[in-house]
Amino acid sequence: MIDVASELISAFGYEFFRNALLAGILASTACGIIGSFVVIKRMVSLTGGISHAAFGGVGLGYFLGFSPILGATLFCVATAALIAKLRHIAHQHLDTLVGAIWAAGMAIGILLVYLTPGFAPDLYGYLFGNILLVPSGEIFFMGALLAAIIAVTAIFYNQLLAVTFDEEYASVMNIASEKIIALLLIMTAVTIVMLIQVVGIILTIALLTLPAAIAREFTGRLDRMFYLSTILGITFTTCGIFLSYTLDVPSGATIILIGAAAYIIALCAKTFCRR
Amino acid sequence: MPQEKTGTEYDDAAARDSRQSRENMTSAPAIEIKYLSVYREGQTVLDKVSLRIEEGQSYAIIGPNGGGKTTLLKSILGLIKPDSGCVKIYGESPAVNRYLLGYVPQFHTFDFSYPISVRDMVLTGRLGHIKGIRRRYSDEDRRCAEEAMKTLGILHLADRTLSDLSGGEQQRAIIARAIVGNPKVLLLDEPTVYVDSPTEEKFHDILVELHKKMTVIMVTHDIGVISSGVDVIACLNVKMFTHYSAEITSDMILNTYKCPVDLIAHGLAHRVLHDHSALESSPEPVDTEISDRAADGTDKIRCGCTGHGGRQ
Repeated sequence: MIDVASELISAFGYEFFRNALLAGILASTACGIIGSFVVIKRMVSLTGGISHAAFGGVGLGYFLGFSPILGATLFCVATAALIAKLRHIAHQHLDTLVGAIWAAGMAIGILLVYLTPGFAPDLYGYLFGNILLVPSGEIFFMGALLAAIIAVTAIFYNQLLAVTFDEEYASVMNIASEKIIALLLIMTAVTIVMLIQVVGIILTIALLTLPAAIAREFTGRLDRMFYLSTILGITFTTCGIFLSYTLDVPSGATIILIGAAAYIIALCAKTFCRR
Repeated sequence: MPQEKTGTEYDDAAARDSRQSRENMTSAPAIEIKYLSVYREGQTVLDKVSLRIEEGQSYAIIGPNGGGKTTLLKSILGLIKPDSGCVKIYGESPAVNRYLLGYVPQFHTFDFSYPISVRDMVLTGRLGHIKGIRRRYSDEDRRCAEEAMKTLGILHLADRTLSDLSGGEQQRAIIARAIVGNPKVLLLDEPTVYVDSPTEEKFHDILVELHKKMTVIMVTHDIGVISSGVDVIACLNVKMFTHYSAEITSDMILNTYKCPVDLIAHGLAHRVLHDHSALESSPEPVDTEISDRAADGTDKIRCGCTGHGGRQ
């Protein structure tokens, strides 16, 4: 026991470990804000489509020889913009279209990675995340993205609230509802890019939705949901990083399993309290 | 929403517009619709509907489900672009003048589990009056919100979460949001669908109270909710049948529901229907349901015809 504790304390001496904790905190804060919108606006499948389309961008990065995370950013933002446009044309077919985008993004990625000569380094990391490998430069990039998300949310808070509660009424109030939704989707895309570093493409949905879903059970205000799900997210990622470090198991999966367990406990506690 | 003012001589146009707008405010009817047609996926939803609602009127539009009632309201609100014809609010397009409208959408369109307080929800009704990129609420906005909640008798619930309220309270909160911007015209879409009998009485009182301050337009498939306070009743089933009176005639019903309907009038307080005797000469009812008044004690119209959107 003392061995484990001293091992963890000594872990703080390593830059990669401090970076991992920082990356976890930054990504969890973005998740706390955007995840709350994803949960209350029921955009989970849209978010899944955007995050999986990112793999196409990762493949493009490998194929053309630029940073895969830059490719993922391009694909995520483009997909978010496309979905924002399609929402009004497609109506009830949107779900199917998102499914198509989801699969097509993955397929493009697989093909491009296959066509890339030689070995694709870190491919596994993009799919399943490896928070212990986040470089210092990436931390600054994530910090800048998070600052942008917080600023945009603060400025447009009243409009975001009105549009996510009742889109048509917001339009009657002369709010550009379509643009606000597009803005929200693009912020979601940016958050997904941050999350790919932490938990990987496959598991991004979980970290976006689990903390917010738990927070929703315990509060009736959107802003409190932001704070509560941020705290929960930071707890999950930090615990996950420590656990995966000491047990030497994949970090992304550990973080998600802690979150899923907490969600189940929260639901049980809520049901128990109601009785 | 894009405003419809383009052109190079903007100053001239703006001056003329504002002059015109001032003139229109005094002379133009609250709502004027001319030959409005809306098509959706090859189907005609509204067919050359014309309508003129004067300021201060209380106007009820009845018709079967799928008769285009909601589409008509959304056209007035500028949420649906008409395929032909035009809608004017005090002589201007909806994009320009819809800030003069208050809107109570159908109850079932809401996600009442949304994490929001009653106060914050009501405040969103002020956003149409607020300029600036942040759209921050002023003290004036907050005062108006409290006033609206007071009018609807839900001020004591202001800081409760919307999902914790009862159905009737939620509905009053939605009406508070519609009137918080001090609208000149209030549009209500199926306002009594989820209201039970005890709240229905109160609901009538609220409507009568609001009508003292504004024009009220209500669409419903439930004739029982129309109180004697209504000035004009129109029937809408793709086409519009207006008689400019506050009485529903069997002809109107026949035209609207496309089948003879048994009209049953009960009670005097909210009578809008003829006596039974007046209707006995109408054609033999085909497959009509007799409404049971004992359940809610209000006037009801039931139409058993399928395929015409009659009440199930």
